[in-house]
Amino acid sequence: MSQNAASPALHLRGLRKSFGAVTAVDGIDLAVEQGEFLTLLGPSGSGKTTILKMIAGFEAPGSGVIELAGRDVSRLSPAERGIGVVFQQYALFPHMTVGENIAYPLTLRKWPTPERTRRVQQMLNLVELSGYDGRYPRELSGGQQQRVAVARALAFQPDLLLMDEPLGALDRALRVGMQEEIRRIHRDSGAAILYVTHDQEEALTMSDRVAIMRVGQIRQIGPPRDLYERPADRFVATFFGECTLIPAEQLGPASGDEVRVRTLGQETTVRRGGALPERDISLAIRPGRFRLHPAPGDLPLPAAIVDLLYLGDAVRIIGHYPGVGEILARADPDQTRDLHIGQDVVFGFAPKDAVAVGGER
Amino acid sequence: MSRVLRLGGRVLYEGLLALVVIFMVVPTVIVVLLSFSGDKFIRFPPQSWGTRQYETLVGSDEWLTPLTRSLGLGVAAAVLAVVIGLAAVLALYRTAAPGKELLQFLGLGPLLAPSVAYAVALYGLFADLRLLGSFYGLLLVHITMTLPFVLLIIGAAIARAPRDLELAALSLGASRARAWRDITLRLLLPALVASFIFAFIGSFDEAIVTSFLASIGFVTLPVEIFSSVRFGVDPVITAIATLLTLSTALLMVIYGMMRRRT
Repeated sequence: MSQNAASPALHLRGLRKSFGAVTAVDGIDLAVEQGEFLTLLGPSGSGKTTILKMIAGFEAPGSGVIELAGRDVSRLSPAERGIGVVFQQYALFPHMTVGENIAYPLTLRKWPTPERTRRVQQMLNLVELSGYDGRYPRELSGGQQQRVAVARALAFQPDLLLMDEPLGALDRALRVGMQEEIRRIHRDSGAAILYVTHDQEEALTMSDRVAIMRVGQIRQIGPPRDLYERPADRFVATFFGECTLIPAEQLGPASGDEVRVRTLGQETTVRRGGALPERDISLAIRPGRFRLHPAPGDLPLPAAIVDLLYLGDAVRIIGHYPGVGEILARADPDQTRDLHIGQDVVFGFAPKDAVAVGGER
Repeated sequence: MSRVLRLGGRVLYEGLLALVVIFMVVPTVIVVLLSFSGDKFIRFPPQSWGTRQYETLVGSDEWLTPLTRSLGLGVAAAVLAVVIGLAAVLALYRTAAPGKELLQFLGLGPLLAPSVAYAVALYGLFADLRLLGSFYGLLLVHITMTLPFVLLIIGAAIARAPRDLELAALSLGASRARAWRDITLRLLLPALVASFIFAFIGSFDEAIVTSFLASIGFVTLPVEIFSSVRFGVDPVITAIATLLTLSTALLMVIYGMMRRRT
């Protein structure tokens, strides 16, 4: 591996791309550190796949620079970049066996046969498919095929692996198992991973850091916990996990991280997620932060229960209050025994659990 | 109700099968049997048996010349049609070339035009260009007429081969030429063989247009057969027909085996 300890595995600077009048990627600056698992999360059409194509070299950047470990690769062919790529539809070569697929990048690099054979076995071990080298891709299940694709992309020891919605074609039960599998492979291989998905749960559970994208721009980047607990704006708050948005009015400029607001007829001090507009702000509250019995110091939020969904280890409560709209809460099943649909309740939340956000949804 | 339907379906199926046997298989079998007749004229059942028809075929230029000409023309037309068709399909499916729809339509044109109308039009053109009876003139026409098969077969195959496969090969370290050779061309191989076989048979079998354009200078086998039939049926035709049936069947078997392997 050609590791340059000082430089990130991947560094994008001012990356842009337009298709006709449509700007697909609008000035992206992003660094993926060595060995990091970074996810680009965004709805379809947010430009994340275009970014991946430009990094892989399948699409020329409109402008901007792509650096791999400090080396400018913007004008190089995909082969010269040496990045592993995993495709949504696996893209295994149907006329080659599993072993031949994994050996293909090694054959191209003219590895001697004994080393090639050893490496193929090593990769099959890594993805827990030992003994499958003689099979053809069509004889494997979707999950197995995707593991072969990962093994092939990592066989030539790239420092960076790009994954484009790799679990998108798998059914739900299989996806959860593969998420753990990919995390384990990530730890064992040591390669940095840039992962693209539109599934926020996948991003939440797998990533070291998540970059949330919308119409060609990164709206917020950080560890999943920061994004969840302190969303920068309304879009991040609603796209990365669920939340209830309560209208609020800003009273004076923010001081540091805190801002004085009036909401639900009371004045209080809350944290802010990012830069706030003067007007039209909301407090974002995560479902688990509501209490069914308000504690002292809590802000009260009256609501009528619209629906109750029993999830086993929790109950999802959907409420409604005029002026706020839909309220999403989550509670312990033991606390919800006496609740029924149509009932009027008062939720409470601590000001420290609310985040002031602005911007469009 | 479903029993009646099932019975009806069965009767229909077996009826169709019987018709296929009566109209397609039985005549072929009779021709094969006739080719081993020792008689001077065609009659069924033959009075005597032998390889007389095959000996006449091999021993006279009258049939051997048009046979070799048809084979040469067929192979040349099929090879060129596959090369041109492959290039056209790549342009149609893998590039942003302008006017793709028009090219696609024109390529399939010979399937739409009635052979006789096409033949009459070409006759006039070839007479002006002094191409009547010329091998290269016929070659051009046969390439044009077999191109639709090639476009359809290779087109269907490339539509089934995901674009991602070539991108994957590039990302794994292959040059464009290498990715194209190792992946795309390799995956199209069965389609190339199939389209070659169909183009060859299409050219070898073509009689209508060719009979307008071929003349004393260059006569193909089907044209020769047609003109010989006008003066009475030469029993050697049964030997030719038997050889053609066998070789066509052989080509189909080869293609079937290739398909199974990939």
